Amino acid sequence: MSPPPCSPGPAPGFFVIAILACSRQFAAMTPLPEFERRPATALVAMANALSMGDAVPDQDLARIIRAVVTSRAERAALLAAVRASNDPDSGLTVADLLGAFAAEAGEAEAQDRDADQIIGQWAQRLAAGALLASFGAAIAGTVTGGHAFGLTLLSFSGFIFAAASRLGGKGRMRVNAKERETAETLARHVLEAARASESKE
Amino acid sequence: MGLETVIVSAIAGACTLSFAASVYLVYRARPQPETGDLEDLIQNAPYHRLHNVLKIKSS
Repeated sequence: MSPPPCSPGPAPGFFVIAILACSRQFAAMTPLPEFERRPATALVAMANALSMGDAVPDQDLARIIRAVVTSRAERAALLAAVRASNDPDSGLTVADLLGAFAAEAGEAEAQDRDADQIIGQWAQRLAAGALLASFGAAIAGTVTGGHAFGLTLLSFSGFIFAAASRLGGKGRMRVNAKERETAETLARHVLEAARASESKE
Repeated sequence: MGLETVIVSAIAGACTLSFAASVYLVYRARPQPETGDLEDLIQNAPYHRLHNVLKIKSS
């Protein structure tokens, strides 16, 4: 009696299909990425808390937004967090908060510019005029001796002080302008990230 | 009151005004005092509101 014929093994194609199926299953089971506690995730948390009716102090929110806006790493982390978020509305809220922050920074910048044009420029002109007048009075001999020297010194130091204070104001204006531009750009990118996360789902 | 007194007081007054304006500008441009610790703020943010939205490391 001849032995029963061996049953043929499964075709190699079967293994390929099995491996593919397993890898799909593992990919579906991949846990969601965990995010660290950092300014970017704190901002998303605050935005969600705000949308759920919690009270978040404006100062705290502004500090967190400033910390996010001024750091490249935090901006990238914010975009990643918004993209990974399961709730597309949180991206919209974050973008809105960033827009409000940009508007506030723009307002502060405009106030600084007004103060510089109305007060700073005229303080500098006044000191320059006083310097020229004291030179003129000293040369003409109307004011002599210690008075002439004192006036020249006073008006010169006033001119230097006015220039230095204007420089300080300009620096603050530049910082505000940079924060405003970065916050506006980031708000646009956050909206795009929220849209991308929505379409992914 | 001589001409010298007039000129000296006018120039000194202009300088005082200029100084006052500069002091005001410096006062405006001073950095705002920061309230609280940023690290503290980050650690105590309302992360519980991210439940089911985003996974955050527990500590």
